[in-house]
Amino acid sequence: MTKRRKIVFFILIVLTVLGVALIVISASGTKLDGIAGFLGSPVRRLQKAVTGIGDDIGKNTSVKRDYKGVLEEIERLTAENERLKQLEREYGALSEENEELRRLLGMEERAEGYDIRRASVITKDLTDWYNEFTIDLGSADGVVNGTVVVTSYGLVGLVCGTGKHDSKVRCIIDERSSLMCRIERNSELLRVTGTSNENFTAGIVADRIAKNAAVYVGDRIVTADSGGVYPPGIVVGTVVSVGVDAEGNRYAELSSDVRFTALTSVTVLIPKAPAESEQ
Amino acid sequence: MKGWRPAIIKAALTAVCVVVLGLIQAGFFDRLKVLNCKPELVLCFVIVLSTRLEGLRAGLTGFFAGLYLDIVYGRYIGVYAVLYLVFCAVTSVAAFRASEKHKWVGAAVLPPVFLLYEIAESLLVRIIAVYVAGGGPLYHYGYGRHFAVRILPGAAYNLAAGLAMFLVLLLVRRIMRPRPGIRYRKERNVVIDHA
Repeated sequence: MTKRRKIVFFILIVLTVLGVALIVISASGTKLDGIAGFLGSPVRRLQKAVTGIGDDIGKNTSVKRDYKGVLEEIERLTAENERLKQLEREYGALSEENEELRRLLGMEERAEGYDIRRASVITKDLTDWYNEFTIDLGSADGVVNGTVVVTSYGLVGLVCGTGKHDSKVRCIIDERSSLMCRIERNSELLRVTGTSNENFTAGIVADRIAKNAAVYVGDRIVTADSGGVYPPGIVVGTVVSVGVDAEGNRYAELSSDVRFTALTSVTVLIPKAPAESEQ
Repeated sequence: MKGWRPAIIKAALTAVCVVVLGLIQAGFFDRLKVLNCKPELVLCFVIVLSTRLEGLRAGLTGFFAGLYLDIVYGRYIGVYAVLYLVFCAVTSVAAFRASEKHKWVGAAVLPPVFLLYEIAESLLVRIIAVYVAGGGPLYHYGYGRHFAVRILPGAAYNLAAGLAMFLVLLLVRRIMRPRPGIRYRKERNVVIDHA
């Protein structure tokens, strides 16, 4: 081995060891997130603009597809039928919007002591290994680690890292997510965790169900007030199946109405300052 | 000092490409998933580039590209820095010298590199997940299923994107190849300057 090759080999080994050390430090939960948040912030701002363009293109292509569909309808139906269909579509959109506003209103009542802010999703996980995404609100807007993120359909997750103008949100379907919840029907406590995403099969599972607690398919699971992290009563999901694991403990698989892979905007519940919240 | 300038320009161009490809991947490729997979454009770029780079340069390119992804998009800092470093260096060792004689050797190296990368990435990510969770199975649903559902489609998509980039790289090199006439004029200028 020549001297130059030895030097190259040495540098590569040093960099690999440095990388492994960074992984260990980062996985141990040491405060590397803050540094990464600070360094990555300018690029994330740029990413916001690029994602906006991507969203616009997505919307435009879907509008073009709809338009093509409408043209086919015109060929098949009379003008009168078409007008009625249009009215029906408008009615559907309005009632959907109405329903969403009602849900948000209900949430506002439950989330007393929180500032409700809308946020856009800037970027999602680049490699699909982690169920995390970045939103365009940061510490400058009052977002802190542990801030709750929801949509009108239910709980999305928690903020797990903040930059000045952006924050990283970990979804409840993530393997590392764990929260205490209640069965809405009988207020029994259980633990809800995310499942492994190794085969693109992210889901939510409830375990630690008390032996005498009745859990049925169709039961709604809502956040519990234990720990004070989540406002109580936010919908987490609905039980779709109940089973028993190898150790004889019961578990329930949940389904959420939130479409985690298609989120473009979310609602952030920013805790109010104590004096402000008393007023 | 004059000798450093092209290297700095190349490094800057590479950095710009990495940033732009990262932006494109995060901004557009969520909508272009096939079998739930999307290509890792930055990975494809640095691997394809490594077929034409000498070992240290390839390793450094991979390391800094990966570190950038870790900082801006990743969860654990260092994961992609290490993976990209290792795979760029390996690609360079496998293809750099041979591709000087046969330009298609670089393309032949890509399939095993992308497949091995997907296997290594999956293993590393799962090991970290188990480490962070304090135990548990490495693959909940069995490795066979994981290989079929995640590793193979991911490698295939990356290979498609990588081959496309390889063709672009060949085209760029063909366009940028210095012409004999220009070289002659430059040499003549040097002689005149010295005189």
